[in-house]
Amino acid sequence: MSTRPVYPFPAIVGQDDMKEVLLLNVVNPSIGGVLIRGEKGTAKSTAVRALANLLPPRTVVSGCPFHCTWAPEEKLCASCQERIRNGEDLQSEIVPMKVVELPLCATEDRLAGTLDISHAISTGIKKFEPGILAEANGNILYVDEVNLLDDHLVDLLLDAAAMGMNFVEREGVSYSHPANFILIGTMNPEEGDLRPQLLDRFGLVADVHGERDPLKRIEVVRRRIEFENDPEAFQNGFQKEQDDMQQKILDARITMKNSVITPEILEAAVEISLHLGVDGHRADLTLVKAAMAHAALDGRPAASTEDILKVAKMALPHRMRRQPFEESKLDIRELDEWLRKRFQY
Amino acid sequence: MVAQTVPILKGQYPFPAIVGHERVKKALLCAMVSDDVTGVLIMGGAGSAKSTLVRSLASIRPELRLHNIPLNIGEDRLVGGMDMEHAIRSGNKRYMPGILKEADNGLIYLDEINLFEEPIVHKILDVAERKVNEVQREGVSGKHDCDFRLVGTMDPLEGGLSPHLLDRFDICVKMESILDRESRMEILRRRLWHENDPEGLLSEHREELEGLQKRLEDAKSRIPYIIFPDCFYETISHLCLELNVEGHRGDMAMVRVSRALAALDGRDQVCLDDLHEAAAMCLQHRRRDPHDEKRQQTERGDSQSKDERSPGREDIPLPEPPSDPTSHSGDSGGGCGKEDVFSMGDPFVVIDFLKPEDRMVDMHHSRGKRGSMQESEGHGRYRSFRVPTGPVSSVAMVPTLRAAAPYQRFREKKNTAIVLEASDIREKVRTARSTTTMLFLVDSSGSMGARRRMVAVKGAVLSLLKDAYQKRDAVGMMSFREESAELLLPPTKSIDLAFHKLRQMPTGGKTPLALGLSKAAAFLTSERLREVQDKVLVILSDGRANVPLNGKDAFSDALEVAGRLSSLPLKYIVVDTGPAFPRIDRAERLGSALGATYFRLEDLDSESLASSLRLAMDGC
Repeated sequence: MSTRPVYPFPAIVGQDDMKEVLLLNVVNPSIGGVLIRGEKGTAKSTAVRALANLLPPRTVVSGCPFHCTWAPEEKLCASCQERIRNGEDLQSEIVPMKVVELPLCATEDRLAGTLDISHAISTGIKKFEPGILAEANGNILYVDEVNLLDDHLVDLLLDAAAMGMNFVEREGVSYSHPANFILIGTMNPEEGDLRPQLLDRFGLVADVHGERDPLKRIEVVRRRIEFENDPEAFQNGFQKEQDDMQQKILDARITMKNSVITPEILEAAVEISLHLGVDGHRADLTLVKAAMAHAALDGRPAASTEDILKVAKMALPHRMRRQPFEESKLDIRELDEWLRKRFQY
Repeated sequence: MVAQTVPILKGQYPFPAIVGHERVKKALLCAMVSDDVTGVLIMGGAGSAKSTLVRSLASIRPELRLHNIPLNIGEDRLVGGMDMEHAIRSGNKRYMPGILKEADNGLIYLDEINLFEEPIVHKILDVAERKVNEVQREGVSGKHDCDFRLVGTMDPLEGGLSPHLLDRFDICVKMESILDRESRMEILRRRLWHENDPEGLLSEHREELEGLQKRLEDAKSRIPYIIFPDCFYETISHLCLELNVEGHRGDMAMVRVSRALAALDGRDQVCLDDLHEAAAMCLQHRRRDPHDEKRQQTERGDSQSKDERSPGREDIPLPEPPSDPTSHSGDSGGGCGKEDVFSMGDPFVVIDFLKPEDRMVDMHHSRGKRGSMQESEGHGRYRSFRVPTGPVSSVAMVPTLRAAAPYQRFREKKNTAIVLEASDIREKVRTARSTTTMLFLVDSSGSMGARRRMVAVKGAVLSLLKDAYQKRDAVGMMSFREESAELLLPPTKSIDLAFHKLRQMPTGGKTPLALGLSKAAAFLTSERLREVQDKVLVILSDGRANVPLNGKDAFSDALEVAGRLSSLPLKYIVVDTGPAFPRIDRAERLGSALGATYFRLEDLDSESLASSLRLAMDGC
């Protein structure tokens, strides 16, 4: 993508909820993505783009159009397996994880991939031309204003996200490839809703608001201007913080590997979901995973009920309603009190 | 190109490790055991493990390949079409089979079946029933045997499936939410285990899995010899009649499924319990609302119209089947549990209140069904192609290449395999879902102020909003009272926002009906809504106008405005919010003047809105 200077993540003033959900997802990508809801100009896009510089590098199969994560043969994509069958000796390669953006105006062909026209014309042979979903495999897929995305694109996206695979069966092309990505969406709720089905697919949500504190508002503007005047110097000023943060993420990922899931955590997650009447099982699952990532960021291998409570306000608000029009308010204080009573801590 | 199958067994969630959902599991097993059971449809909310359940079938029948059909599948890949590469090489057209050929003897899975384009689902169901795929397209013809199992899943909240498609499924079952603590914890534990160590979870359930596989083998070999007692045919037809089951597919499905159930249970004869279980799977989705006879006759083929069923149908008693002592071989253990056999909810309830048949006056400018696909210029989804008749706006590249392919042998080439000529060009046909903008014009004057009345009105609006949500319409809201009409909410797709506005709407004062009507119409025909194709004005009022527009009688003013409005390219719905007794016909007259679809609030209520009303009453 472009080499435009990226605003450093740690330089974003306030917006702690948003930063936290993003970090949790980087620590544990299986949490299932983030939806950031908020009014215009609240640094939503800045934060997502800034995240790119914090992402840990990944080991992939060199030359794979889908950036297959380096793994035993049977876990690789069809194209890599074919290369192995053809006697090729695959090499690994370390690449940075990146943020792939899905523009609202993208066509279905561009998103899913289609027939490679120029190849067909020059050779007369059909070949698959990968699309954005291929690009996003192993990376972050970012949809700005996801609520304005065309329905048929949303459906495609959901399908791929659910399966972790992209299946293309049209225009004479038949192809499938892995499409595992962290889905990050931003939206301004005033401009329309997301369908509950899509909402449920986002692991966590963060609601962002404009900064109310005048001093902080001044700081927001001051930093922004400083950045625009001399991006490089500004970036250098935050280099140390950025490095620290990246190290913290790497450490947390290692902690996650050795983490243990206690029965208490499972119980707490289920109790909360039942207490709030959340129907599907994704809420329970996300609560546990996010709590574990939360503990890991803090250097602890085991999550506590405290962690669950901390992530509840990110994992549940968008899953509270079962019908399109039921009130979906999550009363954190009520939940907090109930939890304290229930688990006596 | 690579054949598309979901990786088998490896990493697959083991079927027996899924907690609960016994009926859905049984339904799927029936389809695994019997070749005759054609389709299983599973309904459930987001995150209810529908897909996990279906995919886990691969763990019990690894040889049965699961073919996942992508939502945007093209017809050429589904049924097959011309082999382009061959045509370029040889100049001959040859049929190249599609997914249906690959899926022969396999399992086709349609996830989110309600979001597919109807012709695709229709085609698949058609082939499933005929067991043959016959193709005539792009100048090639092909035909091959095609025998597959079909499983579909859907979330009814995202929209319904039209009844003639529903009816093609032998079985339709619903995922129940699991609400007990222990089960939920177990689900969570196993899920996390599966993600971290799939082999571990598999080995934990290997024994069960093998037991199940054996049971299936045994049942399969039993199926051809299952005895179906003659007297049960009568039982089934009684049952279907009593339950208002449409058509005969239900009867047939009952026979097939009850045989499969008997086989699964290790018996050689179908017993009453099997019939009961089969009824719960096969009949619920085919039931027709007994109050809806009239509509049924008039509307074959209109997909939405037959969906309407009243919640009241739950009450229909199950007829006592003739007792047949011989049918109980004893090993089925106990009598026929009445339990929850007919308690499946109301996922099929959709009220299409814009049906032209309901109009008092036929609208000459009605634009076809709401939410349907319409051809559109420049935007929308690229759906098909055609030979252009005028200037070409966007070239459909692939069809163009395909059209050119057979002639390549005869064309002069420079360094390319394909040379195009003008006659090859095909253009894209794009279709956009015709979105509707609805404006609710709510009478919030004093005559509506009787608290209960307003609650009912809000309930009605809520139910209309729900429908708007499923069809992805934009909704706006205007209210009139005292001396003014106020736009509370400009059209938005945020139905939530509309809901909140509705809750906060103040009530009281006089009724400037004429003013409200003209303002609403002016808004809908304004420049900013020029692009919107279908515009609907929903008027909720008792028609008791008391603020005249020009100093004459308030109501005749309103009628006059209505008369003028009737010639605008708008659709109107009047919901009469007046009391049932003493009844005044003002809203009805207003409706006639507008050429509107007219409802009484009570009608809406009796049709499908009980639950939404309750919801509204809780909230308001």
